[in-house]
Amino acid sequence: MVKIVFLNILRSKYKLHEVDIEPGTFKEVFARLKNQYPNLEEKDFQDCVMFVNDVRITHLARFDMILKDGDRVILTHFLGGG
Amino acid sequence: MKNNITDLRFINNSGILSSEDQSKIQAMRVLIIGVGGLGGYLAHALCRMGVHNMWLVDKDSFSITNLNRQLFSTPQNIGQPKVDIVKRELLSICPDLTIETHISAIEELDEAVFEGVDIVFDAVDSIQTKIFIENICSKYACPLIHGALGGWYGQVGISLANSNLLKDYYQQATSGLEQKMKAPTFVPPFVAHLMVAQFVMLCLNKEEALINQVLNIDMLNNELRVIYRK
Repeated sequence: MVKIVFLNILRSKYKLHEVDIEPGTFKEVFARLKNQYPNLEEKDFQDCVMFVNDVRITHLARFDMILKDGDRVILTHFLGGG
Repeated sequence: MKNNITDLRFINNSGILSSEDQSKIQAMRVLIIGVGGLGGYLAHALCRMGVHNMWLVDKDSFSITNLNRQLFSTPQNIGQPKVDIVKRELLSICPDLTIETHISAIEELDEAVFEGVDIVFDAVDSIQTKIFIENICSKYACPLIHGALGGWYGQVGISLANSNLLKDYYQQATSGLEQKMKAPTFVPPFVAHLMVAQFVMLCLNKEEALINQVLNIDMLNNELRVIYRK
């Protein structure tokens, strides 16, 4: 399974924290998530910051990325205030 | 652990610090870049921890919009340089503090300010400046204690020289949630004090220190969690 971790505003917006889901491309994984949680908005998943096993995945590359069994995906936003 | 701290000001640190630990902290030369939301609390807490040598850098003066969160901002000191006010207040707490101030953006300051510094604190409010500071810290082989915040959220971490922790974490990003969610009263002190805890761990070589890691702080969901590591 792939572990999807929703952080900060995504966690609060969707009331989701950690979701285990079948592997596949991120596009497929998102479709499965959307099937389970129809209120998910694709734009949030395009715009957010994504790390897969501590590697940052850019916006353009992410939907074709293959997520394997055991991968951990963090979805969050940057913070820059001081 | 020997609990023979003789300076009564720091006797209540003795539950976690030996006299040697307290001496180590006292001898640290720290550079705090930005003395607004995070930096004011950092300077204050480091002073009360017993740090005796500080350099403060900030180009700004206090403004009315700082009053919700910046420790040393008051209606009376609006318009005055932050570093001057922070220096004055710290000296009232600890008259034997050695403190040097620079009213300048860090990008415009001579890099020589990093020479002889043991630990640098990133308390600036620009992602690009954070990465700029990390670069210079690498050049001077100086550990950087990082902090950032926006809305209910914050993060802390320690970037050791040449780790490029922040560069790789942020990559091309230029701003974050702080643009929309701003900085509410209770978040900067929480994040700043976690940074000071990291400082103490680093000084004491604690394996729990967040070396080359980013800890996410979600105050709305009551969670601390490491989200990135190198």
